[in-house]
Amino acid sequence: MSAVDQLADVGMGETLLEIEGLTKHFQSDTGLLAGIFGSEDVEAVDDVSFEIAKGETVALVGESGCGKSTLARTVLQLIQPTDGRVAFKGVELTDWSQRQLRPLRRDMQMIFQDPQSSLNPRMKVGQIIEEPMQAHDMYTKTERRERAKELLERVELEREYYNRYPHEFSGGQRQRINLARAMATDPDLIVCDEPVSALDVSVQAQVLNTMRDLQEEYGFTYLVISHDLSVVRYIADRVAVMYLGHIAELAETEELYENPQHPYTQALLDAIPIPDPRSRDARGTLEGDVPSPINPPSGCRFRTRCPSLIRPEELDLSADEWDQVRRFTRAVQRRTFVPEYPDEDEGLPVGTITDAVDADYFPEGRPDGEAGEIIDEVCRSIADREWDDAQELVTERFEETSICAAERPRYTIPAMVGDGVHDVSCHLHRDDAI
Amino acid sequence: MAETILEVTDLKTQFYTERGVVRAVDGVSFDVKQGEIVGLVGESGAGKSVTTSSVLRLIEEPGEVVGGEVDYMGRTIVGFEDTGEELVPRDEMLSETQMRDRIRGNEIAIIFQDPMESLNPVYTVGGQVKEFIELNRDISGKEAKAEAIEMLRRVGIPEAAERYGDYPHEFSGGMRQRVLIAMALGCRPNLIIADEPTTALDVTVEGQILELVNDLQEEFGTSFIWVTHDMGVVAEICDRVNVMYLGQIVEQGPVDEIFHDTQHPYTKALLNSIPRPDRTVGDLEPIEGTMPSARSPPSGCRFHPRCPDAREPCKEAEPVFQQVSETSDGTAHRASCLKHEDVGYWEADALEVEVEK
Ligand SMILES: Nc1ncnc2c1ncn2[C@@H]1O[C@H](COP(=O)(O)OP(=O)(O)OP(=O)(O)O)[C@@H](O)[C@H]1O
Ligand code: SF4
Ligand code: SF4
Ligand SMILES: [Mg+2]
Repeated sequence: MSAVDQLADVGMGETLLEIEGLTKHFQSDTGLLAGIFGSEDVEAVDDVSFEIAKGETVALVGESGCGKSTLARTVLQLIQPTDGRVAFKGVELTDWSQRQLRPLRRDMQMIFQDPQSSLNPRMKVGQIIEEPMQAHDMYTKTERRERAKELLERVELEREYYNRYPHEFSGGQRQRINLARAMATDPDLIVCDEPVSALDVSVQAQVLNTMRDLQEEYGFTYLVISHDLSVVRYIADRVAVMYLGHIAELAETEELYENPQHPYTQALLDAIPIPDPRSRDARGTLEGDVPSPINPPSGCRFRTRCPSLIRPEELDLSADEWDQVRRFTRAVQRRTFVPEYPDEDEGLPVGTITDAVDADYFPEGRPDGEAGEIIDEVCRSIADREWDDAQELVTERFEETSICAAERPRYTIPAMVGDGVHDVSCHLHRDDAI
Repeated sequence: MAETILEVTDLKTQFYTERGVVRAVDGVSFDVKQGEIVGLVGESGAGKSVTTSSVLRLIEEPGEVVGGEVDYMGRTIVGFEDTGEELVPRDEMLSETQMRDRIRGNEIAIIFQDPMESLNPVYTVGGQVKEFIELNRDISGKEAKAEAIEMLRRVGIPEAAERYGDYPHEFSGGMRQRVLIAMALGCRPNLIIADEPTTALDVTVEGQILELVNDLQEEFGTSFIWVTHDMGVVAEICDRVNVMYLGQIVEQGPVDEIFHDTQHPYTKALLNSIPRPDRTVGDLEPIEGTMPSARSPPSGCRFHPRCPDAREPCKEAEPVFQQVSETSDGTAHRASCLKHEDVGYWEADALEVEVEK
């Protein structure tokens, strides 16, 4: 039996797409990176699982390089996954070859970010829209023409545009043409990669509204990829927040925005400027940069920047002391703490360093016990200008001994808003997980 | 009140293209006071970049500043006189050499949107910052290097001293943007023009940079012209705002007034069309249609084909940019809309809006 014959009928609200343990590692053995890192893997997407119900809009949101586009392409089998499975309408996509999957593609369409380059400039709008129907041998020629014109109307363009070329249209209009093309084969699933990010805000709103209306009318399922949390809040039913190839948090939209539980999601939401000068103070900032996806941090991938990193059990510190140790750790790692060394190669007496460290980071005194000993040793290294040692020490002793580094977190907790569940990959929730 | 350092009056810049004259900037007036962050906001093609380039006289062929005045602390950057037949530059207008040696970089610095274009890929990041500082300030090479490292540290480059010798491609986009800011700040300019400096960046990086700008502005009292299309960023950092549409400023005022006592229908429409991160919105209200070409702007009010409030007179009468409301601290709040004029707007019939999607 062919792949198409196995397609099951899926009713509204039933699982249309099932993704389990999906992983995509790229080999970086070519180009610049190879020289620096050897031929190690870029872990673009690592062990990701979720489901999408028919008629639902799920958004993948995250910053550049977090793996959201790779994930979407892997879901569609446009890129071969390294591991894991994807089932679409009951068909295991990973079991079939590209050629065998071709007929299935009429049910899964994709639209891309850049409305300029995604439309063939030499083809007329009509041809562009008819192409997928023709590829799947759908309808007669006359029917296709009629359908293309009808689709133009559906995306709120004019039937007369059928004979025009893409360059005659604005960005928003081109994105509508893309939509019409994606709808042509009457698919179940439309994957939209940054559908409006190239458009002006006022035009974004037009396209987003059209996408919503069409979904209501035809029951499309959308998987939307976006870096824009405002757009996502508007369009999605459920949201998955990605960070460095992992899903940090997944919940219904209202729950995610009103009750974010992962420190990364919280930081991300805090960082968005709110279009109201009266809510200025609300903004927070996340320190540091996203680490490389080659050898990403163990355990929780957000741990190198997490403001809530969990205190290693063996360190007996109060919450305040732990905060101070964290600040000190970051300063050493980023070398923002800079003593005035006397000359090129000379060090400083350790007392000078400890005094400065105490003043800047431990005004109520350095903690005692193990933590205190580690800090002393770090100060000695800094005094001797052995920065690498100092950095290694704080990282090893104050970070890598945390549960956050030891285990990959995955928990599901009850949602506060609505009665659904809420996936949150953070060890702070190890006790309230269900 | 703080001193006015930059005054732009009725600035006009055109491009001569095969398909006609593009009036990219068509009579723009605004000013910047010491220590202020002034926003220039509008959709793509509104003329924001051409405005800022004109202020620094960076317009190249086939473009030309064709009218208006730009005064920077008593010095004439742009100034014309009427000979009766044509407009010619006035004598006191700064020469190209004076612009290069005395204005650009050391008095007014500009940060462009794409950091890769502004950094030379074959020189080290630190070297470029140092050289730029040396060129624009009267300090020795050694001091300039120390200052460069200090500035890189201040803008949040981790391990600044160690990364001084890195090349631009070894930095992430956000870090490169910070380098440009370090470069601009290192020259201690009085005014920084930032053209969409954070648009291409992720929100968390943008957040870091906006916070930095706020800190630095407090510390050095630097003024900024912040060009953006993002109303969130405007709300976050600007003191006063200029809203541009099709080559003109349509509304100008203190940031709180712009958001909470909006006077121009375009500004209002822009605010209504944005999805909000902080609340659930039922339906977005898009602005119908798209911005027409600057080659043939619509008659009357340029916004009339898209304006939800347009009435008959809007097709013919060109609104005057004028003060429309008194603000609490006496700062002008200006707008150009016939609602604020005595031309029979309120008695007239609504225009049937016929728009192309
Ligand atoms: N070199 C040029 N030749 C011809 N027209 C130009 C040139 N540069 C700009 N223009 C035109 O001037 C107008 C204003 O452009 P400008 O780049 O200032 O817009 P903007 O507000 O900065 O837009 P964006 O948000 O896209 O950066 C546009 O109509 C543009 O097409
Ligand atoms: S698991 Fe640890 S490091 Fe990761 S988000 Fe939670 S507290 Fe932060
Ligand atoms: S003048 Fe008329 S068309 Fe222009 S903004 Fe005012 S109401 Fe709208
Ligand atoms: Mg621009």
